Amino acid sequence: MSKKIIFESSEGESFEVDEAVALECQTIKNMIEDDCTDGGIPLANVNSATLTKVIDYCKKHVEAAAAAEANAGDKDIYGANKDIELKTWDEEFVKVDQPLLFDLMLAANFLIIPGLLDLTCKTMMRGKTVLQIREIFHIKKDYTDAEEAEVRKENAWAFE
Amino acid sequence: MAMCWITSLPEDVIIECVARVPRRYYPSLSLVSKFFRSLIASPQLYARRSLLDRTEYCLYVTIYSHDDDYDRLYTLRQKINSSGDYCLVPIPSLPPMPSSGSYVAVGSKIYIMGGSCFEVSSNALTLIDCPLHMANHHLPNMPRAVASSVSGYINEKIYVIGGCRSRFPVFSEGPMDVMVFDVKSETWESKTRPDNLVFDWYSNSAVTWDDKIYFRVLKHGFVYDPSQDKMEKDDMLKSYHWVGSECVIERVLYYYSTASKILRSYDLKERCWKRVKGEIGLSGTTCARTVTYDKKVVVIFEKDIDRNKVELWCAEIKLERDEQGEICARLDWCVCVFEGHSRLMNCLVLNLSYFHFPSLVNGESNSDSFVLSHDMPYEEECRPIKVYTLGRVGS
Repeated sequence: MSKKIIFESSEGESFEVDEAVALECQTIKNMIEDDCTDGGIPLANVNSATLTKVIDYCKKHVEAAAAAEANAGDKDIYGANKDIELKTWDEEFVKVDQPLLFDLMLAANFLIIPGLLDLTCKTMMRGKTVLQIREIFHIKKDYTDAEEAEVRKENAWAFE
Repeated sequence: MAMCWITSLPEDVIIECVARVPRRYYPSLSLVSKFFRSLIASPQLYARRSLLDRTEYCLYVTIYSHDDDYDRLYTLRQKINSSGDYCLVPIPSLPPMPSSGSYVAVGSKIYIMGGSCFEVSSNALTLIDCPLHMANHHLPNMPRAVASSVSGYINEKIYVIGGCRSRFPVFSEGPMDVMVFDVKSETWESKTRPDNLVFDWYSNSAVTWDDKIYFRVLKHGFVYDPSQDKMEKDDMLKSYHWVGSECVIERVLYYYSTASKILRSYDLKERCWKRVKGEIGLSGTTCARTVTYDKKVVVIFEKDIDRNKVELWCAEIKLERDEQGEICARLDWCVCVFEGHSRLMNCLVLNLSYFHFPSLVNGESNSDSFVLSHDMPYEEECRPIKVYTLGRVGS
């Protein structure tokens, strides 16, 4: 029976996960090593919906790593297929609405889950226009028209 | 001034996002806001990019302008449009360089040594931090002023070999002396050679392989071994008019022969030349430079249009093995990247994955000695952002 770690979301909801799953988060790994996880880990900046997804991601990646290790000596076509399968799973995983993707990215950054951070950051930026990026990051355009024209001129070669 | 700040997002998450966008799209990102513009010119961003698991090369080309007798640095960039064409983009923040200086790429930095301006040679050493293009002019000058010298980087030392008083070596040949710059201690050492060898021609051809520098002058090829301070003749090396090439891939030197319109290879270990299979046929080539990145051969070459205009073209060539296991060249793409009243000088390839914070590179020296190249000082633009603490973000 593996050791369990309890997370508590910002709404106060408890989530019990295997230690192996929690170890996917570098921040939690450090806490486990420092032995300060008794009585659960409060994550006041991660809500339940986000935490559910984060745990799903970590679970899937722990399982995939275990499966890959089991097949390590058996480098055949299946090993390659597993990789593609995980990639497809990741792609499906981030097909969520913008606010949830945003929260997932923040959670991955805070909990230090490199794979999830990479996945969410790339998804966040891919195929976005300048206007959309302003919208996503809640940025007001702070250029005057003259300043914007100046920046365009500076990079005119790129927009030709 | 209107508040434009990002209210709920820590700066490091924005860096994480921007670091994962291909650099090609950075001109678009600079239109988002002033903060984004300063971010894409910040060392923090490139430090983060260098930690991501991929390699990023950057091609720099120096172009001589007939209009003012100076060389200028350009960098090859990809356009954002759907064609994805490449072009050489000037770096306006960098000052014009003396012509025929010696260039060495060390990680994501370029060291520029000497050169000549209006027939007066220079002893200046300049360091350029790429891709931020910050120039450090405060390094100690070379012991001797030279133009058209050969240079190479081995074990944290830059070796400057030979060189002439002007950029026309044929009229001003010099001794084959070696100057050594220690990039750690930032000091120069000068070595005179006892063997009376003469440096009489600069062919833009010098490669560093197996901790030795291979180069040629007019009549001879040479191999310089710094560990023993030994200059050995290798006349096999200079046959076939090896010019304009700094391209070594797996112990094999490649150069594009403008006369035969083929790629030639020289095995540095076996010391033998070969003609690389495969038709390349770059048309109208008078002068070419061959470099390499990502195990591909890259040729930049001139095309004379008329007396006042030359075009520079860039070709990327893939090397493959055929059924017999022999290496074949295949032209991947070839595009016009520049035009002007100019001449092609040096080409060099930097690896941006080796990016370090500029202030740390020089050990003791502080960032004051760096001239920020853009009119957007990072410190001013980037006000302190809220510290990301538990409970601030999310719900």
